Amino acid sequence: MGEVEVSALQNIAMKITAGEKLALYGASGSGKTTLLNIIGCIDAPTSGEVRYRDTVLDYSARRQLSQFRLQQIGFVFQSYNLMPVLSAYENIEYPLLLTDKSKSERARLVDYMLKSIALDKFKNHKPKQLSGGQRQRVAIGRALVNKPTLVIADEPTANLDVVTSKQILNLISDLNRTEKNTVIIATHDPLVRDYVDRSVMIRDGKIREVEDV
Amino acid sequence: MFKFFRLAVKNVFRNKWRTAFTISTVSIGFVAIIVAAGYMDYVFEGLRESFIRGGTGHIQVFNNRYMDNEEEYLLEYGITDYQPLVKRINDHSNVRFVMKRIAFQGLISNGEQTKVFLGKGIEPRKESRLSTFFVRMEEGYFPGIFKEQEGEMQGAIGQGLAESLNAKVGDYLTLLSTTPDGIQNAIDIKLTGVFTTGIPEYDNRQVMVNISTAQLLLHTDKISNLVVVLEETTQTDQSIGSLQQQNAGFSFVPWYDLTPYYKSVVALYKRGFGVLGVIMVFVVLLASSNTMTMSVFERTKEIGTNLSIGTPRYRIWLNHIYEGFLIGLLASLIGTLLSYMVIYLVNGLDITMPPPPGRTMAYPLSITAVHSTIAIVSFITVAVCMLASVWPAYRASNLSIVDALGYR
Repeated sequence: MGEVEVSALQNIAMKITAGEKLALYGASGSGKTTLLNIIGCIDAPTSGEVRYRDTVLDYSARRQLSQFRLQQIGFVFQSYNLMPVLSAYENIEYPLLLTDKSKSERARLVDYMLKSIALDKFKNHKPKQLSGGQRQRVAIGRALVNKPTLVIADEPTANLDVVTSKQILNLISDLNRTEKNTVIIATHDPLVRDYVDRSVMIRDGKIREVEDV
Repeated sequence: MFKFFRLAVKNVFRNKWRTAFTISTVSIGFVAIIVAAGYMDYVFEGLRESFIRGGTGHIQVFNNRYMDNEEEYLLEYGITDYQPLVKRINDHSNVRFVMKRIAFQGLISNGEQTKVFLGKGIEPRKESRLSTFFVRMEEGYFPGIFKEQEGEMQGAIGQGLAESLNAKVGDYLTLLSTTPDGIQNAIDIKLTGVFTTGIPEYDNRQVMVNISTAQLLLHTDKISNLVVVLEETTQTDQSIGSLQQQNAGFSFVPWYDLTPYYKSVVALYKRGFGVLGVIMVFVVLLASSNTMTMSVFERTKEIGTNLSIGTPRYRIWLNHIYEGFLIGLLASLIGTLLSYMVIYLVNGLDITMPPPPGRTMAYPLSITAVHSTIAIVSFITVAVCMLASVWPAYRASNLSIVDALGYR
């Protein structure tokens, strides 16, 4: 008995415009997270190509991809994925530690981000001292602090109640406007549709429906 | 570098109990090594000084031909015109004093029983300066310490020999030996002292007489060798170099070349210590490797997140190595502190150890705090903990980001 090869995505052709807010809808196993991972350069397609500003991404160049993610992409995860030993301030600061920014420059950017996500009073709190919504705000702060051009959010509201989900989606939308980044959200949550420019439905690894909102 | 070091510190203390357990294990191994090394050093020093003070001295001087040839008769390659040589050696700044020796053998009798003896012709006052601590006079005093009566010759014998001859201080004994010319000669000595060296084989055979008495018995002006006593044992090698240069016709032999037993004991202890060291390295390696592996498993999702953010893989690897370094550093610091406490405690308890094999005297247990060993063991501990992190760090840095993010 050998391993069975499964195609998570097939014949995907899509273009995402700079500054756009896009939602990827689909059931579990539909392939939306795989598509998100490929766009986010943490997984590689077996065939086909991905272009970023007309440059074809080379998925075999791990070091360059790592640098590309650091400079161009911000990630927001369903379960926040914050480092429990670090405070809110330190979690947001982490991507900046990977750059050559000075301590004062880092402090300026983190403080600005803490104000933007309205958590400046909680800067010294560890993740376990924060609510789910506050943790997701910290995760958004970490994703945006390095001024990425693309923000990828995988089920950012899945663990939150409706009120908090709306607050998080408002925050993402506001930051999209002020930071002028592109946002792609993979979600089941119908609420997201109200906050994006376009929705793409994926089923069995294929794009089934595109809806401009 | 330091911005990530802070993260490593926080990660090390993330699971406090596990880190405490690992650091305790490594520290206890550290203490075991330091205490064993300290005890070994004390034994080596005690053994070394017992040989030196027990009669070997720091350096012995022989006629060059004595070193290269086998003597066909007693004192064939002895030293004849020794006074200028003694003066030159005495003038050396490291030298405390020089003494003459004659080694001979023969028969000793109390009139009823006769035993074989190994004789030493000595300069009693100088010998007593060298041997006060290690050759213990059980009765009486060294021969010639007090003025001999006109025509009276004195001697001291080992305790075992005194018991077998049933001899007491004040008794007269006869020494019979063969002169370098092959003539049998005998003298009577008055027993002035009974001594013990701590080594039964010596105590059962040894006789000490004044060097002039030995020369009279052997009918010679020669001596076997000179014994040089230095201010410090550590000056031995340096002193030999300069003395040898000034006195080309003579061989200057250091104490360690005259005591093969010392060398074999040192080799034996070092082998045992080596085995202990290897075991401890494995304990440290396994303890810290286990901790680091557990830590990587627990933080798989976090590592995946960090990689997705853009953390270079070498940085993930390096951060885990920092954690290994920190565990090693903390274990070394705690181990050093504990080692000094254990050494202080043991030395303060006045524990007496039973006599070692081949010895009759018990000795106090003492552990030397060997600072250089502590520094070396600290370095090795840190290095081993870092080494233990290499494989878990490699695994962490090579995780698939997608798999790591999906890890539960």
